[in-house]
Amino acid sequence: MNEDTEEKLYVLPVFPLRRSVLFPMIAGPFAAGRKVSIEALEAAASSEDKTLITATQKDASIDSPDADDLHRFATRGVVRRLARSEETLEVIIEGLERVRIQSVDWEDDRLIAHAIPAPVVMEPGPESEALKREVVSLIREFQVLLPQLGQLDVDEFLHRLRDPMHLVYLLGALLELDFEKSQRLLDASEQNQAMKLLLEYMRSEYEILKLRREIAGEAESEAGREQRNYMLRQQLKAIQKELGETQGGETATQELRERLEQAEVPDAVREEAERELGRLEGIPPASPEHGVIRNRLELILELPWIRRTEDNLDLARARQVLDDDHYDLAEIKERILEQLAVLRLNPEAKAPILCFVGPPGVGKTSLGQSIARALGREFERFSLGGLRDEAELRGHRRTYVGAMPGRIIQAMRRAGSANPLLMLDEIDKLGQDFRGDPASALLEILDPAQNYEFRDNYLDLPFDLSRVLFITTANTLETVPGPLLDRMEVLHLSGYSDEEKLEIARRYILERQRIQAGLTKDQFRVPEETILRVIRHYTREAGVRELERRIGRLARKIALRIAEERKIPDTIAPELLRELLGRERFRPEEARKEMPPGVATGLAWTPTGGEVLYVEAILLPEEGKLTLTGQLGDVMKESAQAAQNWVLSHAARLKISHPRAGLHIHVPAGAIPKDGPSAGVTMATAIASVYSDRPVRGGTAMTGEITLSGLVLPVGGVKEKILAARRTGLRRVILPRGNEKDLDDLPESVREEMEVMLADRIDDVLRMAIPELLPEGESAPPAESSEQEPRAGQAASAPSVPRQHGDSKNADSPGTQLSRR
Amino acid sequence: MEHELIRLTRRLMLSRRDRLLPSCWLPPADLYRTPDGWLLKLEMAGVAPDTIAVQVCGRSITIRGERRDGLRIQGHTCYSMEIAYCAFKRTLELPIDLDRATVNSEYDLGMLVVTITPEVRQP
Repeated sequence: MNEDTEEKLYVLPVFPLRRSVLFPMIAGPFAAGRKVSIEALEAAASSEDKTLITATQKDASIDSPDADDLHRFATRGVVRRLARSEETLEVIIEGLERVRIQSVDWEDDRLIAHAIPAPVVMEPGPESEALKREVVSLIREFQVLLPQLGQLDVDEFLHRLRDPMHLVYLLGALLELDFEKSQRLLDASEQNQAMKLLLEYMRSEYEILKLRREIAGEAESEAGREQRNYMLRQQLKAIQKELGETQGGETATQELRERLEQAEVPDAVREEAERELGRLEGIPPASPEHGVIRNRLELILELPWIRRTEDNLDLARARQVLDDDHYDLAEIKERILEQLAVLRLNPEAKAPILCFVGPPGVGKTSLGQSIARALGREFERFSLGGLRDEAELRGHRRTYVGAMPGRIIQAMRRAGSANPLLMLDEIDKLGQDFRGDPASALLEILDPAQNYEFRDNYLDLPFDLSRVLFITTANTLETVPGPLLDRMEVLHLSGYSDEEKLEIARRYILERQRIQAGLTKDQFRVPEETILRVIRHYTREAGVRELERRIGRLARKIALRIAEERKIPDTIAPELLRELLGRERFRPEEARKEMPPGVATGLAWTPTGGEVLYVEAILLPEEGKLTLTGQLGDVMKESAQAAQNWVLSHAARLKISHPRAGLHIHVPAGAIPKDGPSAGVTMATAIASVYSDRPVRGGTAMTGEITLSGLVLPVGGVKEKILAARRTGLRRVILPRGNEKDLDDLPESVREEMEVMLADRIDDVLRMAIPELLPEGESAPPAESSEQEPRAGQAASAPSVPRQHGDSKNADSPGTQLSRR
Repeated sequence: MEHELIRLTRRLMLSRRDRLLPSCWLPPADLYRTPDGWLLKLEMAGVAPDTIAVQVCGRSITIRGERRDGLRIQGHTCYSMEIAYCAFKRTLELPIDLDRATVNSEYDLGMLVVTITPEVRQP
């Protein structure tokens, strides 16, 4: 458009454009495939000045356009480059000037146009200047969003573009306007009109661009990070490969797959594992998800779904193993042998769920171990003590970070067989709070009717626990929830007597501690008297833990002497104990020497054994008042009231002088809370003694619950109580007749040593405990016990007195308890 | 063939930047310092000498011209094209005042050689 010559008429081939517009002064690449286009380009390329006319079609779908199908305003251009490939010509055409097509005709295959130059009318002036500035300011805004524009120095650029239309067309091309808009821009025949149009397009493009940026910005930051991580991971992989550390994800999943193929698992589990493996392969090893899936897969592969150990059903051998490991405990051993016999007859029998209850140190846990050994089963144990979270048992859901399977599944994984012996210790010390109730989770686990489909939250597959032999242990049943207790077969292990402890020490502890200390048999000879002295003067416990520690200490002292090359005694005589173990820790509790009227000796049960306790009563000057002290629980208070009222209602018979006097009962030690009904007879005796002003016979302890009609009901913990009485030096014990059967639990030696008297009624107790209070043979309500009081010594076959008072119901409740601090 | 196609397309694709300023063909130029003054060479093969015009103004020298395709055979078709056929204008700045210099140009072997001899020697 340099020279403004007179009206020129161009006769040039037409290159019809389908969806684009070539602007003057702008170069653009085009591809030609149509016959008409190729003809036009070839004609142009063969001409001297290589020019042609590009005209945009009104309808892009037309293949051979006629005059009416082309826009009238078009561009004369020059072919700058041309290259040919198979079917198409690729060209770069540079626009030269705006033309108006006057006519278009077909000549053979060629479209020839007659066109005249149609320069845009320039309108220099304030309006065009304003428009130009507006365009420039918009460009600057674009520059922020479009990096490819950012490098452009706008001022320099504008300076070089003398022709304002050059700017318009350039921006039109840069904005990549659609071809209809572009054509409208080309149609504009006045500068300001074109500028306005451009501004409009720029604004709308700007809005679109901004929106796109916002959308892309959100998506990009996410995708960008993913992309980056992926790149880094690929590089890491390459580095690892280079370093020969090729234990990448693939080999790991490969290995898992091989293991799965070999694993013995049920079909449903295999399916699930396959599914997980599939997912695992699709996840890069560095992703946290990868670890989660892999851990679960490993758990699935390691769990004993089918694998079982063969039970050793040799009864003689089992008996031998049990006897080797534990002294006595006949009842429990019998129960285990029964189970063996059942398994022999019916291999598919459901395993029982046993609960061993007894004081600490009596060998509950080690008994479990030797049962496992006798049966030839894997042994696993864990403690429930202080467990508060149900998820500890049943696992966490895998959605949580650091989720793990529950203890049960973990124990099964360790055991490696589907029928291990699983020992759940301290079931009585399960916690319970807002975080959950593990005891309720145990209900499912310990129910043979449900646990064949135990579902751990983490594993999330049903696992069969019905072959597992569960054994739980507890010190007391008080805190075990009823429904849980109901599912278990309770076996009691009571505390040991001194003789039993001696036997245990002789058979097991001495040997164990000797070997532990590395001593020979000759170096560590401990006679029985010494052991007994340790038992009596250095320990006080129901079990044998402390005893074992003491003997261990003894062995170490000897070892020390040998190491120091000092002389060691041939045998450890009792006299040497003071030197070796220090001064005696416990003096045998001595029964009170002074028994003024109003003091009676009772027996209490604690989770750690029996205790002797005294009930003291005095009369008060005020009338009718009853004061109870000594941290007594409600049951014990009621029992005291019942005792007082019974005594007062028999005041005449008991020759009571001041029946109206008030009464204070105290049970030391005052700081230890006590509760339970089993001190009933002791209270009654103390009250009768204080009202009648006759002292209770010395050396006599008693236990039993009373009723207002004067009956004596059986209580629990009899063995521990009698052992406690014996330890204290009391030789006479009054028991409810309902407890007669419990005497079988006592070792022979104890039975011989202790004088046990059985009572049906309070009258019997009083007659035994307070001499001369009631005449022999006289019984208060004549109807029932017509027999005269037997001095039933060593459980001699007592006369058949009706025993209707529910002995079985109460026998398991421990009666009076002390909570130890 | 596939590769060839891609290569061609690549070569032909103009970068966006190229489209910003249509770089009309600029003939390459060499400039030499001679004992007498300056020697300017421009490669302009195929440019008809009668279209070339040299014009000086102050320190700048402008060479205009137009290359048209004069070598054509009847009935040929173009297979590929890289040579630019169009009008051109090349302006160079020299550190001397050209208005006070003698400027001679001759066209030889497709090259335009311009000798510039200043009247007064410039430092």
